Amino acid sequence: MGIIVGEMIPPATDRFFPMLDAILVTFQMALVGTVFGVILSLPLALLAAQNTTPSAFVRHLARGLISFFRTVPDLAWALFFVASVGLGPFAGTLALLIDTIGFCGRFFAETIEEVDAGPNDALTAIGVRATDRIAVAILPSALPGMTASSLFALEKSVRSSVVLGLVGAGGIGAELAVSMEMFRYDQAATIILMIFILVLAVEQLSGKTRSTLLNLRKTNV
Amino acid sequence: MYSPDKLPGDRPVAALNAPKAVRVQDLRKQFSPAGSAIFEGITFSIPCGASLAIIGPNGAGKSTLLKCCVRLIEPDGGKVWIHDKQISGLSRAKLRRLRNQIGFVFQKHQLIPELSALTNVLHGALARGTGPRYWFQALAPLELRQRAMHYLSQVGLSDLAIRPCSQLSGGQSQRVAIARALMQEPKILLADEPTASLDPRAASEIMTLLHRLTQESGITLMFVSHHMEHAKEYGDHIIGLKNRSLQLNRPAKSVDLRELKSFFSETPLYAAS
Repeated sequence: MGIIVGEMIPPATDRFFPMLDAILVTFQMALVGTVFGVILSLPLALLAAQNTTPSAFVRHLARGLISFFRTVPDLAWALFFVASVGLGPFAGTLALLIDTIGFCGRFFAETIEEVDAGPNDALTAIGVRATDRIAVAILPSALPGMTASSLFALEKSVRSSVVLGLVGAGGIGAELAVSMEMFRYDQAATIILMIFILVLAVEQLSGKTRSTLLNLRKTNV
Repeated sequence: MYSPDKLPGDRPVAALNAPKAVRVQDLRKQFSPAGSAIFEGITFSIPCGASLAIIGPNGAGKSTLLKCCVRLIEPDGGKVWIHDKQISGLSRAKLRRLRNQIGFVFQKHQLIPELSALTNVLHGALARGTGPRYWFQALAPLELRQRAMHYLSQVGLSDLAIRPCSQLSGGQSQRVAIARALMQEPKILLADEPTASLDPRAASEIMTLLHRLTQESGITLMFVSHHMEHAKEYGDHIIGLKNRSLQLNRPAKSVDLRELKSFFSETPLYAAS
């Protein structure tokens, strides 16, 4: 291990720009997969939450689907999509999308269930339709929690997208695999540093976004 | 505007002979099949535009009775008519439409704390309309916003319209809840101990406001109260629940405060399970 670490220093910059392209692709995969995953998680979470589901059967069905998406590892989803749609970032994006649904679906549903039932009951008492009640009495209260979950999902996706590249699902992972196989540990060191900077930047950005949104919440709607 | 000469005791007799807004006959409720009833044999009616006070010790079933009147809690026996329409057989859709005409003010205001007072008032209109223009003040058309502002100014809170409800006091929040109920333009307003969490001064202010606004709009008011003074002052009629049955059912004018106080003096036999 000491020899490998020794060979990693100094990190190589000869393939810096192709690596930069690859890390950008990694970030794009994570972002697109998370955004679409979050969008698709919301209706599924509404069907899975006890206080918004139309029936117990639908709730169990939605919960089962979310559990299935969550329990199958993202690497397995990546292999499945690589086999289905071919090598490249699209397979990785689909894997991250499914993984995000599994993650956000569960946390969104739990956040929705934790919302104070009082305002919803008050609107039920005057005959307000379910869709309107969800829009005004459930989602505004659940939004901060759901935003936090979405940002955690983005951080998780960025980390996952690196690994997905190792199985041919595009991004910086593929570059890392090639560097390791070619014993170019100096290039691998550059890639690892890039991954570290990307993950750190996303964590910082999501932390700032979370606090900004929480402050915005305090102003009127 | 409100004037002291319009107190309930001075209402014309004709108002009491008006068509019934709510009619309840032999109502019965029990929470467990094996347990005893919370109440049974409850029969009373309220003329349109009148106000009815429901009193009784803790656990007597006052709130349950109020909720049974609109099937927020399903009664186990008896019949309820709202404006001569029996509600026991109504489908979910028909019941929802019926509830559109009935406002409800809760013990705790049940506003959405993240949203502004104006947006919360706007939600009263959801009983009669649907869609994003009723969801938030920013999406609402001018006419709706003006109407919501009108009701907010009626409860004296127009200057706090854009303040989130989480930053309002208990009394202010209850005022917003009343404005929301008025925005619904209901024919009947049910109020379940609307002053329970307020200090005596705020409680009197809220009851005066509720009573004045419902009278001005000709809304039938049914309210639950622990304050005998409120029941006497703001109710045209008082009904009292105790020991599972209706033990008081008289015009407010014919009941004196001493009698009401004695109504509470005995320990209730029933305690809600």
